[in-house]
Amino acid sequence: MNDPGHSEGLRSVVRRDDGDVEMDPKIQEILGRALKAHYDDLVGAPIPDRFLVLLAELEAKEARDGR
Amino acid sequence: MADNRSSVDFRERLIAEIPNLRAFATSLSGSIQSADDLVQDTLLKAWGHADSFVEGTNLRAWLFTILRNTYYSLYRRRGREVQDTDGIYSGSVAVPAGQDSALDLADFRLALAKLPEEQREVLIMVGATGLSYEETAEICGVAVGTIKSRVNRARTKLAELLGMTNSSDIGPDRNSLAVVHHGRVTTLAS
Repeated sequence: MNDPGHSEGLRSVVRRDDGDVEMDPKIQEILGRALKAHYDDLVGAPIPDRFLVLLAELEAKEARDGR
Repeated sequence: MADNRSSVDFRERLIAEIPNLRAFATSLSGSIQSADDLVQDTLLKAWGHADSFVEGTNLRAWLFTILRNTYYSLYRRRGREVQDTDGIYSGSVAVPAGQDSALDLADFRLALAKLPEEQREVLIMVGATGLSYEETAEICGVAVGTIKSRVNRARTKLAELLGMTNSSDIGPDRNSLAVVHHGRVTTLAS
């Protein structure tokens, strides 16, 4: 990221005295929304049966073994 | 597990975390197939080590730690990195961005997949899962400052990959895109 030659034209990102990079809040906001949209889309997918079956089997086995 | 009752409770709580585990695993591995295998391994380990979960602590953070360790020890070596990212997600739904510049979700995902893993995972944890910087630092076994710097680098890289480097690219309101000043400002373009 600290490659001035490569980052030609980059105006939305600045480097502070402490070396940290500070990004335009508006870009941060857009990226933040995109990130949430990406993640929430995945979270919203239905849970495959295989996981419910797996956990039910584990629990049944535990009950059977009398633990 | 002590008795059947607590075992039922624990199962219910695991089930409630499955959507987050899948979302994190998919974000990490870039493949839904790998993600589901990874989630299955995570659930098996979590069940087997239920006694080591400390009540009152964050179950999601505990599960993410297991999932992440499993990924780095078993899955990452399988040789896939970024390549087949297109097509693995359900669709290219537009990101609900409000009034200005929406990012296309498919474009965003391609860019996300190009980030180094250590940046992608923290960006997801901090930015989307509800985990705190402190919890993320604990999951990754590094200092909070390291997490912050990885998040910053991840954002910068994403913006670059998405071409969000010129004010004219991201919306009509040029004035609102002024560079943020903190002491002596050095633009990277200098």
